[in-house]
Amino acid sequence: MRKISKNQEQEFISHYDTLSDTLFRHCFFRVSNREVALDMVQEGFTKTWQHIIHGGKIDNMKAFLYKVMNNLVIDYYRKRKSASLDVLLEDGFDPPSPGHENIILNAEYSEVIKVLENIPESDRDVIVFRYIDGLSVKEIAKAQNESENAVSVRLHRALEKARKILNP
Amino acid sequence: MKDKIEQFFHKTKTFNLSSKEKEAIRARLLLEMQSRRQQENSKNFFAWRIFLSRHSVGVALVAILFFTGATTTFAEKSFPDSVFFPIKIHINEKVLGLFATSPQSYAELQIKLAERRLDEVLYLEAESANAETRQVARQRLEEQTKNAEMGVESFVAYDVSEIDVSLATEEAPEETQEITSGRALMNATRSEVSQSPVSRTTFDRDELIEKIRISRDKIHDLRKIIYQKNDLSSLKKLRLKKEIFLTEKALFEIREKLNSDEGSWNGADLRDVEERVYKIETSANEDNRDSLRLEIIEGDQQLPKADVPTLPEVKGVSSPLNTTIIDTKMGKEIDDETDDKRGR
Repeated sequence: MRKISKNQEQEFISHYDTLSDTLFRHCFFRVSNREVALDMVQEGFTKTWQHIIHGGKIDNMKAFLYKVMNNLVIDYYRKRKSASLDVLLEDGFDPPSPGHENIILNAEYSEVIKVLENIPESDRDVIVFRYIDGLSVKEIAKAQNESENAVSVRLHRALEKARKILNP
Repeated sequence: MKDKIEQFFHKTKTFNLSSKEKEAIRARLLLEMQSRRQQENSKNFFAWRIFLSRHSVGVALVAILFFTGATTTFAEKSFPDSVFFPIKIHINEKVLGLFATSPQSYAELQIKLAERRLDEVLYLEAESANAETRQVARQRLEEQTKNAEMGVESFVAYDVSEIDVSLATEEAPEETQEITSGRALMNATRSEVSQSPVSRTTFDRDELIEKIRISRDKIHDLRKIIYQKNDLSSLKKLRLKKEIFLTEKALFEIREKLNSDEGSWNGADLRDVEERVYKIETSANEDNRDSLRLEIIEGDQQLPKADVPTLPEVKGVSSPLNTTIIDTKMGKEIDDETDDKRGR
């Protein structure tokens, strides 16, 4: 562990103040769960700090944080897929009713969630990156380790699906 | 169309963390930073304490050595008005005495200590210290000067490896002269020293200065005696070595001669002679006065004759020493008739 100066700590906290809302928004509209999104933000920043104190160098804090959040979301998707609902029910899991989260949300947001929940995950991610986070195609490609072309194609496909849901 | 989608999703821009939630995550991050800082500080804090507990004996020894070294260093340069002065005279100087194992080193140490006492007296006079302290310092000077004289006398009396000057004067007249004059110089210096004692009575400043000058000269002369004595001893040792070399040379020549007459020499046994020469050589090298059984010349006293080996005389071979012709095996003198029988 390397010695961290007070300046570095203050710099990291200022990054948190700047980027926490954006990242929370990103996580929430990808996983559709506020608590999970909160945990992801907490975990994402903690992991980034651990990376710094272990000597890791970060050139672009925003890009690094997006990558960390993206990985957390992917892990969440994998966990969700592997645990079938039947098994969870047997263990006494009481799933919230669909739209439970939406009850406590503003109506505008719930409409967005409704659209996003009904398109595949990969398409959803790219829409969130582009229209909620405001990243460019280039930035999305970098965050997801894909080519710009692939991102553009997926984005176009996702928009078509979203339009169909909005205007059935 | 794109604008509509953009507008649709644009409304999500206002979806943020509540202030409570934001503050809670921030607080947890700050806590983590603080706990890490505390961990680092405690590691540094405890690190040296752990080190101390593991190496307490070593650390204590180092501390003692450092303290002792510092104290003795301060004491070494102290004067009678200093707190460290008792350490100087009762510990430092006693320790120096332990290393003075030979008479010469003991004498030199006593001279050095006398010089120190002299410096202390001068210092106290210069500082106008109180009368009692100055008196004590003067007494110490007197005592130490006496010790120095005794040390030098012991050194002069100690070495008994001198050779009788009367031996082999024809061989090395220059060396003999050197030894004689060296001894005379040393005796003269000793005589000077004994005639200049330091008075024990009180005196005024001019007298004091004179006494100090005398003491200083005396100390200087004592040292001179040691140097002269050493020069003398070196000369004599050189002389002894030369003697042994010549004796060995004679022995070698005798042996060569005997070996060349195989069968014609009947019974000469040189082993005794060889052993005796070997003993002389060994004794000279080890500076063992007992085996040589010699005494120092004091004034007009004459030396008893040294115990030198006798060698059998062989025709054609000169010996550096006066010899008698002997047959060590037969135990009788060999005469000319016997020589003729051997075909010489």
